[in-house]
Amino acid sequence: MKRFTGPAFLFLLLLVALALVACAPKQAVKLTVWMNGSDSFIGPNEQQKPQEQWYISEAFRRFEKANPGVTLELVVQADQNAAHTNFKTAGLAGNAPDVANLWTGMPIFAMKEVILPLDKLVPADDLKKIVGWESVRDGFKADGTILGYPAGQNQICFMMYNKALVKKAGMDWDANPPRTIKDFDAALAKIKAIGVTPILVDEAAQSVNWFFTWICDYWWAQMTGNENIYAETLGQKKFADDQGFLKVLAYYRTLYTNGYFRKDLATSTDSFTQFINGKGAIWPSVTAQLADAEKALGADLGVLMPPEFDSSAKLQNSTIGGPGQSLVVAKNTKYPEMAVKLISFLNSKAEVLAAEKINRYPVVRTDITPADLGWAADSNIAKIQKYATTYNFWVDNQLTPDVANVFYIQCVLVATGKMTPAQFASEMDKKAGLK
Amino acid sequence: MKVTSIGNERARIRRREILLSLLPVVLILAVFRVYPIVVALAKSFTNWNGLYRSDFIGFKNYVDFVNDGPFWMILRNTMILLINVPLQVFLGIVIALLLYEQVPGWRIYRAVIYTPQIISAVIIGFLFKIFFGLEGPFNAILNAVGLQGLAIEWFGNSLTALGVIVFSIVWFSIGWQAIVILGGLSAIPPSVFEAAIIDGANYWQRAFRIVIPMLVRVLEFSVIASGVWSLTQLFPFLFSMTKGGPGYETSTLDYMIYLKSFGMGFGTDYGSATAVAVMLLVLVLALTIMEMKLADRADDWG
Repeated sequence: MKRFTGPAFLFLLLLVALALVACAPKQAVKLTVWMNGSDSFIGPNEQQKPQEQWYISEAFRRFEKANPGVTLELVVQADQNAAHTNFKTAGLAGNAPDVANLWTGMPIFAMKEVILPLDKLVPADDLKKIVGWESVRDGFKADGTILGYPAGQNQICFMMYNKALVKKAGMDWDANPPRTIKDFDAALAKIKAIGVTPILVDEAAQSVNWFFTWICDYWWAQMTGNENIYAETLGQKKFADDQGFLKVLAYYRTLYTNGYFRKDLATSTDSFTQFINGKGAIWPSVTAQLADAEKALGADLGVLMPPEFDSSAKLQNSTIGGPGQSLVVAKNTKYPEMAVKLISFLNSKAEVLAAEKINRYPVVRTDITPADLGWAADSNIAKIQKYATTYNFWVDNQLTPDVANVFYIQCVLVATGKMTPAQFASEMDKKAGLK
Repeated sequence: MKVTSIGNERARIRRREILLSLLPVVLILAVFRVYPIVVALAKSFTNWNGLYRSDFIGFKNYVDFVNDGPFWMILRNTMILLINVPLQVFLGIVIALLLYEQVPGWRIYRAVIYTPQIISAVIIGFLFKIFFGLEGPFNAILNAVGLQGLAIEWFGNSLTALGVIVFSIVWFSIGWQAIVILGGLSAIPPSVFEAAIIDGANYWQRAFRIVIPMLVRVLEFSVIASGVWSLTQLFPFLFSMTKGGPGYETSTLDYMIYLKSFGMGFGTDYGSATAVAVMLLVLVLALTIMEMKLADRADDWG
């Protein structure tokens, strides 16, 4: 008996050691997440509350509870423009956050060397039920590398209108909205005839051509196609040869010469105030501004989608929009699967529904209906939601920074007649590297 | 020998004291003035994006900016806005003379005329934007008095927009000018005026033969200070009134630095922005030297 004591003791020791290893806590997983301070998973009014009461903090707690051993650290980025540069710098140094909330399109394509491709990590169900993947695929190609998840809200462009003024002009756009440019022009003429400005817009406020970016860009995409616009911004084709672009610019000019825009659209800054005070019939807009306008105009507020510029074009019944925000994973992360699991969780049906309490936006999922969100079928937001899966991705997000600067700042000069469409297109070509 | 040696030792100690006294100022200037200028000059030859990219690209930033469509318009706008300098100096002299003559109520005028200086330039910009808006009070007044033809979109084209901006700058700066010139006037001994009066000099002769020549150095300061300010500090006026637009029609070199650094289009073209800043610095130095030479000549005439 005695001679077995030694091996038995050793065996016992081994068992104890194995048990200790098994019982030891798993290695902690800590993910650092950068979130934009606005227009993201953080609502416009949430920053007035303590951080632990924010929607995103609650979502993180739910994720941590469902995934023991995982800790999430939230870092709020006040300046999302700077966040892009900081992310790239940190990525090159190998210490970027595991997950970051950035823009979609060109801004993330420009830093793909520090972003982890997600093609093999995204669950098939997400690819099927989430919309906007083209906005995060390299080069906007259907088979481009997936650089992130389209995330958060889905901004859709449309025109708000004053139902009372439209009715006074003898029209009912709920029943019979103008769907062609010819109808649209006729409708604007009728509104002008009752003595109010048909379209109120501050076309150079914040140095951005809002009407062109939100409405005319749809017509441009309809005439030219996103692939060709993308080729033009890369200098592979010429804006000056783009007949669709030139036609849309020429039409944009006629809106001014016909008196359908306010006369001082290049210098005004009070269009929204004038719109809610009944001084004009139409105000180009995105979803984010709907709530304020509904508060001001109540039942008199209607939404009008852009009419078709070319009824023979392939792109029909659409508008400009799409997710402007993305969630990307850094190449230097130690936990790529967990990072994707977190992003997938934030875009899950349950979380998207929960996030609606802070932001009332059309959502990025196909399996959520207005009824799920508690929206009445005839509400303005429900009408916009119909376009949440059929939009044409932001044209201006497809432009390179230099081209975009010319586009934003000088476009209004075409409306006011200080530049011809050809001169403007030529200026954009110069910035795209073509003479 | 001994006396000379003690003298040399004292002189050496004195020199060391002078150098040590100057050292803090020299260090502060070197760190906070010279170093940033040298760095900006170096960065202007790179494609610096603010953080991780800073490759040497020679004169490309300069060449691209000069060949850009709006360069000459921007330079023209910068020079046109300098018109505010002679205007504010001239009006400053007139007001300072009125205050110096102690016209009835001069103390109240002195306080009132200085008031714009204590208002934020951004607020002044917004006030002028509203006042000269298409449907603003100024056009309402023109319409009311039957001058509908003059009720135009003041910010809608380059020249009228720049005119309104010049007007707002003069309105803002005139109090400062008047106070500076009044200070210069107060330094002229009253006996000089008394002697001139005894010699039979009339008001205008006193103004042009005594006041202006004796104010040359004060005027030199106010012209240089307001000129440099006009070239480098107009951002709040432009941002609040026109945002440099429509297009680039009211943009200046100063405003372009902002647009290239923080403008729309997700661009952070700091390399190009520093090139514009260097061009602006050269322009400021050239105009200042020219103005100083003119003032020296005027002083000689005096």
